[in-house]
Amino acid sequence: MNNLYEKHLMICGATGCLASGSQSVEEALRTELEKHGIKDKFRVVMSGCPGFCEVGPIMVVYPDKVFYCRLKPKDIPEIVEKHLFGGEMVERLLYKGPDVEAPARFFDTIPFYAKQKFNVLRNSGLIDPENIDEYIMRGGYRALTRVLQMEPADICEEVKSSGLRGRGGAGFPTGLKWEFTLKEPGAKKYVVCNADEGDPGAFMDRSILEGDPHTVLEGMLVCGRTTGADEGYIYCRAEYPLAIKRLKIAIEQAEEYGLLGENILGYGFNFKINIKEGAGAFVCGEETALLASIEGKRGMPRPRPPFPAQSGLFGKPTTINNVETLANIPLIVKEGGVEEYIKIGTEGSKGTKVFALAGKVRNTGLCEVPMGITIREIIYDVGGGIKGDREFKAVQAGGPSGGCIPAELLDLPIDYDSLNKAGAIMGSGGLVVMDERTCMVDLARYFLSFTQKESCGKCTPCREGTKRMLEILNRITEGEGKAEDIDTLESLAQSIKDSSLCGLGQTSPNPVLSTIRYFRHEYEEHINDKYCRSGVCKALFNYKIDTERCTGCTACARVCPVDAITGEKKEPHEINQDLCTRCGSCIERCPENCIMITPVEKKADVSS
Amino acid sequence: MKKTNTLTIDGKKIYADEGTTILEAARQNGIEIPTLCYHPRLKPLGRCRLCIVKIKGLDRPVTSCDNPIQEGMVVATDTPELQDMRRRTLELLLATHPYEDCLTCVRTGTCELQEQAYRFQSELPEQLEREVPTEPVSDNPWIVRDEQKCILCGRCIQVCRINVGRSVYSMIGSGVNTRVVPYRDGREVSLEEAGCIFCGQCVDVCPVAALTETNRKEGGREWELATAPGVCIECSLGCYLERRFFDDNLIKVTVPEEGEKVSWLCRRGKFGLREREPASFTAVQKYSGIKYVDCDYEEAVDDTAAELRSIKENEGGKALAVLAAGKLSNEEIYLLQKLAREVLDTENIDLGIEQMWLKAVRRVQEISGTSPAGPAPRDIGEAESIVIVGSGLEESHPVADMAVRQASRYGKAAVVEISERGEPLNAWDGSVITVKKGWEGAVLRAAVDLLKGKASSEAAKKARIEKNELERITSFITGSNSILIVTPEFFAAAGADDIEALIAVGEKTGMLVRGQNKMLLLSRFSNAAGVAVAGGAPGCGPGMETIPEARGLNRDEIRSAINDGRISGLLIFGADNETIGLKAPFTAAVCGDYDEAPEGADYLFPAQQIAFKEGCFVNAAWQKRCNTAVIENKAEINSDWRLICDLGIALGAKWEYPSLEKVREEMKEKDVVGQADQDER
Ligand SMILES: Cc1cc2nc3c(=O)[nH]c(=O)nc-3n(C[C@H](O)[C@H](O)[C@H](O)COP(=O)(O)O)c2cc1C
Ligand code: SF4
Ligand code: SF4
Ligand code: SF4
Ligand code: FES
Repeated sequence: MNNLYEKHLMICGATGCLASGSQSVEEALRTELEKHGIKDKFRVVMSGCPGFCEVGPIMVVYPDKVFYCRLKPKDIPEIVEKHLFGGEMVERLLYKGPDVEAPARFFDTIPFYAKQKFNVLRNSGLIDPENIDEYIMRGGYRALTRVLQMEPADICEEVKSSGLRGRGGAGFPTGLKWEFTLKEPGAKKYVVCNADEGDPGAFMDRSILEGDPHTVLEGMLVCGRTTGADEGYIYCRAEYPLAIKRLKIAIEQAEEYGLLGENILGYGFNFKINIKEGAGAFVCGEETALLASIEGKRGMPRPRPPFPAQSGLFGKPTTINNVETLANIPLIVKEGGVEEYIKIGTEGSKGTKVFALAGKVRNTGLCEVPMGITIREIIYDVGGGIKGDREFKAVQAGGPSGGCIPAELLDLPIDYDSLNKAGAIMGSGGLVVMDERTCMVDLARYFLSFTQKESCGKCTPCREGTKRMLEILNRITEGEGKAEDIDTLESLAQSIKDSSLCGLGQTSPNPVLSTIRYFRHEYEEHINDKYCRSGVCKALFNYKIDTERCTGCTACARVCPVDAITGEKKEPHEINQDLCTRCGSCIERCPENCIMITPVEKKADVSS
Repeated sequence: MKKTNTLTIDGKKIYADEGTTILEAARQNGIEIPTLCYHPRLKPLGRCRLCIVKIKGLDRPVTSCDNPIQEGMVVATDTPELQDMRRRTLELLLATHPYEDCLTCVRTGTCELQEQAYRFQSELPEQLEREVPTEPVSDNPWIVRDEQKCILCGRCIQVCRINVGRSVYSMIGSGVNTRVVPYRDGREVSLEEAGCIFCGQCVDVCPVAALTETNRKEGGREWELATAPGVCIECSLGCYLERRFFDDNLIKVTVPEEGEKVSWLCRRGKFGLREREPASFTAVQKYSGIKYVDCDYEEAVDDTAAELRSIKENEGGKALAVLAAGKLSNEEIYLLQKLAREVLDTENIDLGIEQMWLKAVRRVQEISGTSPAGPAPRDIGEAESIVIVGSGLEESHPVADMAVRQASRYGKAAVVEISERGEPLNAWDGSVITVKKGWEGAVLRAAVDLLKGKASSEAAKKARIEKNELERITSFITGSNSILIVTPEFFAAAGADDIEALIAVGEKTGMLVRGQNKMLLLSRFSNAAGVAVAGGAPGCGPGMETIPEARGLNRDEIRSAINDGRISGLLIFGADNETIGLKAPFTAAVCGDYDEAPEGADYLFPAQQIAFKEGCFVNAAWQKRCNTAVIENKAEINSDWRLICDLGIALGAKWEYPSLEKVREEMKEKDVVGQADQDER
């Protein structure tokens, strides 16, 4: 059926591009094709996410691999006329960026894609996620067919030897986890797919589910077959309606094809999959809390042991894996899969990892890169460098449970172990890039306020300790820091890390500890000098105009909402510190970059 | 036999059973680890994180309360790092606790948070802001909640969910604003709306003053309260309890701290004693023809004795009757039956027992050969299948109902109730087989037929029960760990053939064999078993001796005899809405209030306040449990057993009972209480 169409027009139908208007682009395209009577020659697909959300809506034309970005409905007639009829690409809609000299015509010449390696996103953007045939055509469900003829222990061995580690955060070896459940006696076992994805800013799991739901189903089937489970749950956050819709379609189609249900493909293997919509608390992503939530209880972690492999969902042995982990499975257990798989990655971390690139980087979006890639490559090659050519300060890896990695470590090859050593974690793969205008104390405060709000309240250190730390950080950023604060933060952090019940509490101090580790001087400046060099903590800096360089253009004075800036035209301007609210409007506006962040000037002591 | 593990704690070699937690193993060996959420009678909660210990080979400390020991484990409980961490955790808890209230707090002295703060010599931290209601909530007569003081240990949530089977509390909110509140259908509600039965068990386990008894602010600090162990005589389960007195006043009742034999209490157990106030009159009341007037005790005793003696001499003992409603102790029952039989020469005595219950108990005893001992609430909680015959268990024996709920949690035990109840048993994981009132016996007969292998039975047709339902019942009770509970409602309506069917079911299913009985027979009267063993029923003498030739009248028969004018003298203890009818015979009654008094009674003797009663009781599981003596003077005034003695002596008996001890010795000599006489099985 592939040959029936001249070209495939893959419009990104994932959440990011939908938000920037890909739906109307699709409609315009269909209308246009209809108008010209060529809708049978060109196939339009709302595909999964190709990752580059920054420049959406995106359309890729296959087989030409031409990549159009920032599309508007009004661009469509031109594409149809020039490209589809005329065979010429529309230059002005191609990707242009500071990282390429000429507009990049093809998908794979765009620097954002050059260093990527598509394993789990192999089908995203290439197939119609609502059509099982396309998945099957790209080799889908072959892994399942293969494992149906294998011994569970042998499948386990393969997964073990692939070196796959859990992508949900902790990086536990997946094969080993499966083996635990396999060895557990019991007629009833479960597979649970963790699609809670609670890290703020993370959306890799959503992308996989939206772009290639069958690969996750296949992963679960293989897991079920291996561990002896006959039922699976996908715990998906309710804020992902599109993912849920596509999963439902995928499950229905797989059932129709006899790939799910009773006696699958005649091998006597039964497996059914249910979807459970999660309420969305961050802690519900923690495995024991997630299980409680599926059981209809408040999503609250419980002590382990017993581990889910021993007593999981409804007290039965349960394997719980992350979406991305499961999406790796079909690649590994296909014929010759392991050999291919272990070629990529580092000693301790094999394969690829999907990251969500955010923050002050030029190309934000999703990228899949081989383990072992350096931070520099991710930020400067894939990410296209820092926005506005500011200076890179640090990157926060692993979301609120992770830590920051400073500029000194730009050449650190990323894998589970190196990140841990650096005081961060892989987590679910969030990377927030920060420049010189990010205050590290404020950053720590921000993440801690997140975890404090999300702490389930069950155990003391996390519930109350994060609140205490947050209070201290609030004080420091408001200029009320005390000399002993850093020590107090460190010892509290250690207590919370060591004595909290679940991963949320145990990792919650990471942002604080790692910022203290690499940016202690910023803390000290805040506390001792009452100075925030990044210009974030409003009580701790002044804006000051460099009178030497000021040209008196009056731009700043005109934007200041409180009229704190005075000065004659063409004369140097001045900021009245008593009026200034440090809103930052002027610094953004100044064409000469001559507004500086300086320590608060001590007022002359009136009494003396 | 459990395997023994060897491990090292703080350098000390320790042996403990496999499966023991690190905390238990340490405590068994005198090593103290601080805890706050741990409670010996609850499953570990793992919340406070105070009990952390270091295990050799593990980076992170682990909580000792919920981690089992392992062979060869090396544990350190007291390193400086652990102490620092615990201190920090504790100070965090203090930071959200209004410690400035300690001076006036009702839990001062027994507050577990205070205790830990003292042990650690904690500094008082700056308070952490949190959003919880600052005013205590007192929206019911029994329990006050003060959320400000809650340390979120989770004990109340667990005791209510697992042990009481109610799930009243939930945690809501997040972070430092997490709260424990009564919760139903997605919102915070009052305790009552959340399905609370006010058993107060959450109050008893709360480590701080977040949950307290109403009125606890009155009457003495915790350490000033005197404790007297005792037994609850609100129903025939006879749960253990502790009475706490201050200044001769009962302040509260609690569950005894420890001990395996302890079960939980229900609302009547926890709060019932406090609600039973002292008699509203202190002097004996004599009916003057128009109203009651105070009367001298000796005079009243002498007059009563004279009246009774003259009736006995003129009309014979048959014209006399003795009634009581089941709150008498074994000793009192023994004395009272002795008074009736030996002094008043009457067999018309019914001190609170159902004839059909007695019949069933006697049959059980015959067959099992031992005592009629049945399963206790603890056994119910561990059963795998439970059949309940008759309705009303929740009302008549709430603690048995709690145990059923506990057993059926998560479908662990299957439960079926044969009763007239219409609605489903949604709280339990069970079902009801609905029958017409009083037709439970017919179902039992049909079950017997089925067990005998009769394919279609007359009885089944009569009982209108489906074959599959019948099979379910029989399969439930033939299980190895099954229990049959028979409620008072069944005995109230049962006939002799129903009892035979009940016994036949027991025998056929193997529940009732020589040396074993797994049927719990529940009477409406708290000390029914005491009445049986001490001989307080017609035809049932001390030691459950059968007295066929002289069998007197039972409660109902006495009532109609009064109406017929065949009874001329009546002695009533603990009047329970007894009426004397038109032909008002001479009546002396012991009661606590005019409302309770039998209409037209000639003398009202003030009843002893039950909280102060000394004496022993036998519960439905045939366990003897005793109330120890409390404050001497209060126990002495109006004590019921003294009144019986005084009446006996005034009637000319040569009784010498200087103390209750003497009565007990006599009973022991006669082996009255028999098998139940060891305090616990
Ligand atoms: C607070 C917290 C939140 C978590 N959230 C997620 C999540 O959103 N998605 C996920 O896959 N794993 C999450 N995890 C990790 C899970 O507990 C679990 O380790 C994971 O699902 C196991 O799958 P894996 O072995 O495939 O990584 C979270 C853990 C913690 C402590
Ligand atoms: S560490 Fe935090 S989130 Fe985890 S159980 Fe404790 S309070 Fe809840
Ligand atoms: S009084 Fe009893 S039923 Fe009510 S909340 Fe407390 S434990 Fe639960
Ligand atoms: S009310 Fe008492 S028992 Fe319940 S969580 Fe709070 S402190 Fe613990
Ligand atoms: S006693 Fe172990 S966590 Fe509270």
